[in-house]
Amino acid sequence: MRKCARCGTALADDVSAPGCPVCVLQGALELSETGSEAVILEKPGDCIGPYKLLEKIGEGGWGVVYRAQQEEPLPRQVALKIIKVGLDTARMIARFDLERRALALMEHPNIARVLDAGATQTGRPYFVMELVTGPRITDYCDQQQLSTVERLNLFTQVCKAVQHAHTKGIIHRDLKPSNVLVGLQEGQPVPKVIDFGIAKAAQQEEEQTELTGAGQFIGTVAYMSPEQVEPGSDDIDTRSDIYGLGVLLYELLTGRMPFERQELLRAGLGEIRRRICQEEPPKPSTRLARLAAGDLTSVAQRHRTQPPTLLHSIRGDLDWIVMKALEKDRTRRYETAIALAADIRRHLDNEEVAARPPSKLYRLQKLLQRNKLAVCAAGAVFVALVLGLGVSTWLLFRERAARQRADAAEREQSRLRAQAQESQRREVDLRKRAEANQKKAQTEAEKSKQVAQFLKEMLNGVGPSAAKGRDTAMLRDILDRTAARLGPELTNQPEVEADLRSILGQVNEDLGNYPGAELMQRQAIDRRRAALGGAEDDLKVAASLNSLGVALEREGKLAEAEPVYREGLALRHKLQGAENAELAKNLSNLGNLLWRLNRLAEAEAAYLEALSISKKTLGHGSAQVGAITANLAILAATRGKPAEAESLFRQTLALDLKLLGSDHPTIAKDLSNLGNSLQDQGRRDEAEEVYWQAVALGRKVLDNQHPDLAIWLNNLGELLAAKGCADEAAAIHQECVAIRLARLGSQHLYTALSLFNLARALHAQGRLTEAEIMYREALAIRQHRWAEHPHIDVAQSLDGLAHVLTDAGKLAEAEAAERESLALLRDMPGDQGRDIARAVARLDDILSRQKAASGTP
Amino acid sequence: MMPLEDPPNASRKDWFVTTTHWGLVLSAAGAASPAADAALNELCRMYWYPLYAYVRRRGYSPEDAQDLTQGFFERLLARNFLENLTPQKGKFRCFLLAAMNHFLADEWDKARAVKRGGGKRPISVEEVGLEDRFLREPADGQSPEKLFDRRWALSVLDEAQKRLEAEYTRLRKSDQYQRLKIYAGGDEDAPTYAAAAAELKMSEASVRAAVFQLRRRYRQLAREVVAQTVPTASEIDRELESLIEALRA
Repeated sequence: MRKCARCGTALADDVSAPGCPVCVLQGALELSETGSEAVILEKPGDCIGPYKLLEKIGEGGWGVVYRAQQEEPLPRQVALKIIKVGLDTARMIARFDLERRALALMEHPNIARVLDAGATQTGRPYFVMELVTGPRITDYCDQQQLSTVERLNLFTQVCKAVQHAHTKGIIHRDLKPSNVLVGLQEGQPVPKVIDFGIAKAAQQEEEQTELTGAGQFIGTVAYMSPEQVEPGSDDIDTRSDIYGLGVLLYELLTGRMPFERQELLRAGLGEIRRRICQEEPPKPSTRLARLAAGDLTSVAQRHRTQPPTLLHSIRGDLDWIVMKALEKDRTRRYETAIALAADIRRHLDNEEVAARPPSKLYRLQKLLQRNKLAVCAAGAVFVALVLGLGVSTWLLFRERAARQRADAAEREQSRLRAQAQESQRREVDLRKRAEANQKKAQTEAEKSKQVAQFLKEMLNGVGPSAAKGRDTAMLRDILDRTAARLGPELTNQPEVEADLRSILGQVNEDLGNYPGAELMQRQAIDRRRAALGGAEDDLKVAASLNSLGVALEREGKLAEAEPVYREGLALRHKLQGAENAELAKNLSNLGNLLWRLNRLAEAEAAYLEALSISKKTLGHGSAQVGAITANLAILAATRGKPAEAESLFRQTLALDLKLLGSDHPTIAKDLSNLGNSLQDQGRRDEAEEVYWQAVALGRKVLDNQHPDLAIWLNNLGELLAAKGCADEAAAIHQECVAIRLARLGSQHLYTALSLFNLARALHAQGRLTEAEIMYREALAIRQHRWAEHPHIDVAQSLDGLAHVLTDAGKLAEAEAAERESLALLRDMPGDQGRDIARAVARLDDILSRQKAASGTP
Repeated sequence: MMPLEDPPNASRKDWFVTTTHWGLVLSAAGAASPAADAALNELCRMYWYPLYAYVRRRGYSPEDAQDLTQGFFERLLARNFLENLTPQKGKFRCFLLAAMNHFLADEWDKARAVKRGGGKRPISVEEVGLEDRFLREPADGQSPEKLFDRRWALSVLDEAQKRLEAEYTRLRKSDQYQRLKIYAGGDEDAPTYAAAAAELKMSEASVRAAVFQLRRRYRQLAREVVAQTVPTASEIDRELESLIEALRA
């Protein structure tokens, strides 16, 4: 009979569900272990055994820690940990007991000792530990302004404590500053490691804390090793603690964590996991060097030194020691805590350390291993970029060398000529050789150009079309790396650099990385102008201006985008005249922006002109004609003419299907648009079907976090909400929020919109607390973005919040929110009559409920 | 100070279904309540088979076992055994077994009478295959009670899985569900994600994330299913522990 590899349960034939039923139920059990209705019964003043509780000093998911007074046999204060009521199941008691026994095994000056253990009258177990008083190690070092060397000495003691635990077979699993406290013994600082054994629970807790208490959870996860954040992984050994020590050392040296808490907080759980498992944190010295000058100075002050000295002392050995402890692959970390301590000792003694900068080849190999991306195109690009840029520089070098050789040959030639035909035959021979050299130099210059060209072509081929629906993390990584190398490697070729940057900008835009696209296009324009050396801007500048406009628009920087578009248009018009397809495309882009700015008449004029030029230059059946038709359709929809919009969208869809086939992101976009126009006409079922098609296609052809997919999901979610399918709507909006948080960030208005829509769906489901949180998130973003003028979105968020607060019975808060919403609406220009009436009605409702609640008639 | 940074202890009440069907039935005991009837009906549908298997293992023929189980549920749904129940009466599983034993001892004849009188079938059960399923039960001398508990645990998972599938279907991800369900139980022997990634045209990382979601949801649903059979939410964990015990036995 088959056995479960994890828990050893025999899997009989009568089990129809896949996998091991015991593991599933175990998982279901662990979902709540610490979350069920556990209560604390004790209060200060109570006695447990011979101990009198003084105050609660800590509380975790399943235990409470008190400072307690012991009188017999000797009076002293201790820390007493007791399991919570409601968690005292056999299983938890066993686990609690395990922790106690593990602690009792250890006898080390830097580990808090277990002094006693027992059970209350009702059988709840507790144990008593040495009371460690003192600040966290990081706080202690900063307060005392310990130098780097002094910090290393303290840290070495921590390593020894961890090593001691490891030799007893105990893994801490949760090393972090709050678990390493520094006390004073005979005037000497002594770090003590506390909380062995708790991390087991922490790790199992992790799976279900995706949304609740994310802040606290991240406090723990930021110190976790890649193998610990891997879902469902039980495969943790002493090397996970080495990683934890690495994070601690990083923090002691830089005052920062390898992955900033704040950044992790903003990212979703999946993203956190991805970062910890894949992203290489900056070396400590790099991290310090990147700090703002003021911040760096204050870090240095805390180390009792100056910024340059601090940087110098960390760069090199300490960088590599930390990075070796933080290796993603645990086989590459220090094998033991004592080995880590020994390397620090060697560094302090100016000996050669064991940690070494990883070789380039090793990094390349690692990059490939990390991203097992089976796309040929991307693979080729990777090789082209990582090796290609190397090759191209090498070729540039060769070209220079060849040119020098050619010059030398020429000099040789004239010298020979001056020597006057000493040997006719020899001269001819030499000339031949010189010509060959010259030719070679030319070829190599040509080759270098070809490499640049090759790179261009490769990059042009990627973007979503080549990386259809694949994980694009690697691609984006490559783009960043390439961009970083372009400057130094192509200093003397601004033109080539401008071309490459422009293409990188395009690829970034395709991938939905708009800030990246903006940066690249701006740099492309700079370099191009540098290459032109004061001459008039050329067509390539015009193209970059247009792309820059698109990037700005996508980032939501609408006001900045307009002058950029117009500059590009004017330039192209001057250089090429009115009758060209590219101009039409740029005009249509300007139309989009105007539409976004709600200047509909101007937008229509731009579209119509663009359409007429495109038809003349490209013919009626071109993709561009289709795209501009779609824009006109959206405009019609905005103006409240859905039937007209539908017909225009259907034209576009038919055209695109013919030109692009059915598996193309544009088709999904067309479908979603068509769905909008159907919904506007009240044809919800038809609209739903079309939206589902758009979403399905998007999931198929785009990376699953593409911002466009979020748009289609949002449309679908809103339709489902309108149809009263709150469950589906909430699920869809949740996906949408996740994408936008990951790709657009937590301050983007689209993110706010999705949060708002999610809040409404949750509200409809009756999940009031979650709805309230989401409304507040949406509100915060919108208030921040619309800080200067009253804006309908802010008023709307406040109204939604007031609504959910009312339903939750939080009437005072509801009233405040609704009043604020009303005030904004009254301050807003234009006719807000309908919204004001609604807000007043809601406020009335709140006030009457308040009366009812307080009992006044 | 000795701060303890245990995992967050935030209330997860909002994230769990806390209504328990059984709690509803118990609190309505005696009085007419359509909601309690519906809840009971649902419970009976889910646990029909474990009870059938129990009766079979007690030695009754397939026909008799079917009649008995059906008769039992008819009586139950007519709420004949519920008058004396109080919320302290414990878990649905234990109640069901005790009630069935009582029924087998005393009520067998009455049940037959009901049936002859043309009693309607209040719950639909796919009868085909009941016996097939029973014949696949381990015959290694497990006591009827142990078999009942084991079957019960598996019924919980079957139900959780049905709900899981329904959810994925509703979100039009049933192809993903069909392809990834082998990973739902966390079976170590399952094939690697590469093939699934290729078939679903997803990256391996996305597949891994999807499997993670699937697993977590499966566990949550299992919890919800169990939650429906205990009087109060605080007893979910104990019941889960008993079920794990039953499967290991």
